[in-house]
Amino acid sequence: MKKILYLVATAFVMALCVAPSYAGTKIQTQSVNWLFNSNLTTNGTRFVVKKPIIVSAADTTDWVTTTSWAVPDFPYNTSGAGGGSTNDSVSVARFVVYVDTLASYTTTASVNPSIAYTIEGAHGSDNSAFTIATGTLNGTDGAEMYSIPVYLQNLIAGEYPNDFSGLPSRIRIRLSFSVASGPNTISACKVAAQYFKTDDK
Amino acid sequence: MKKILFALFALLVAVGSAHAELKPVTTGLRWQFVKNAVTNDGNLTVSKKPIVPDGPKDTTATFSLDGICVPAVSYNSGRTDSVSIARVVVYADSAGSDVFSGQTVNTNIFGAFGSDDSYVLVASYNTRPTGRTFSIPIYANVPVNSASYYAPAASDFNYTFPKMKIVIASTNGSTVPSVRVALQRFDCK
Repeated sequence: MKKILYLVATAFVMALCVAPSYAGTKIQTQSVNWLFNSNLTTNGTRFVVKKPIIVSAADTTDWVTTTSWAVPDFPYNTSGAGGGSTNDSVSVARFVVYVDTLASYTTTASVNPSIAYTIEGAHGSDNSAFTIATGTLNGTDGAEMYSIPVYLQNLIAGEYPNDFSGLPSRIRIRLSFSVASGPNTISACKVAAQYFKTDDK
Repeated sequence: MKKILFALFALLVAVGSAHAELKPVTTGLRWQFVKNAVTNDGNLTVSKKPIVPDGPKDTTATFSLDGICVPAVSYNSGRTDSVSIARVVVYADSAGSDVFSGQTVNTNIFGAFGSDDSYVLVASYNTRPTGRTFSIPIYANVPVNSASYYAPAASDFNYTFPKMKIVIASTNGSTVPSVRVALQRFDCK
């Protein structure tokens, strides 16, 4: 009987260890509305339709609530003192940006539209935004889909996964573009957010 | 003792079901009938159909990768780590015609979101119709290191759009008489 008990207990422990830690996580897509700002020429479109982006006028989406988003297991290297490294990071979400210039730009990089993005986060109730990532998308002619990942990163070397910098309770993205020459409006732009969610079966 | 054994067994079963293995699920993709275009037969089933060379594109019905399960990530030491969450399986057979004369099946995967169906090409593959299936993997969750922390990486959550479709064309040579498409993904249960 003891042997049987031991075997069952062993199988139980093995099942816990082997069980995929990330299995059951699903990909979710959420469309993001444009944030109406009466002080800017944003056209005021609040729905998930395409809108123009005018040169030098930043356009911002509304806040995306990150509550209940799933954070994947951190990949970590072995370079840190305890195994973890500050180089370790993992993507927890992405903004998908659809851009269609609908205008003819030359293929020379110097005159193609340059779209700067800023991902902002906020905690609490006062929407005090702070920057969590910036970058540039290099537009070309025609329609394109850009993927802008949102990462969590290990902060303390030697610490193990889950010591991430923290996912703000809300995030949003701001886009603005500049161009050396050519049309000063990107005719069509829209944004969606994708993230992971645990299986709610 | 029996009660303890039974309780442990029940717990084991419960844990096992809670962490249910991801099972691959295959979904046949229907061909989408295109009006005003010569699509041969407008076949709406998942049976094989011919693809005309350099002719009108043949398109599958729209499908979604929203809500599909993501397997556990196995990773090495950097940004090459990834996990496959789905694949597009294309069967193409020349049925005796000269495969090596340049006959090529071109598979384009398009993705979109929102309500206006603005599709964008996200992947393109060419193959020869040798009577075999070939698969186009779809990846997700590619971790990166801090060296590229801010850089947009197209490989993150690759091709996981809520609206997707596959367009097949024979870009060279003669008609490919027998083509069909399927989608494989993981199911949580």
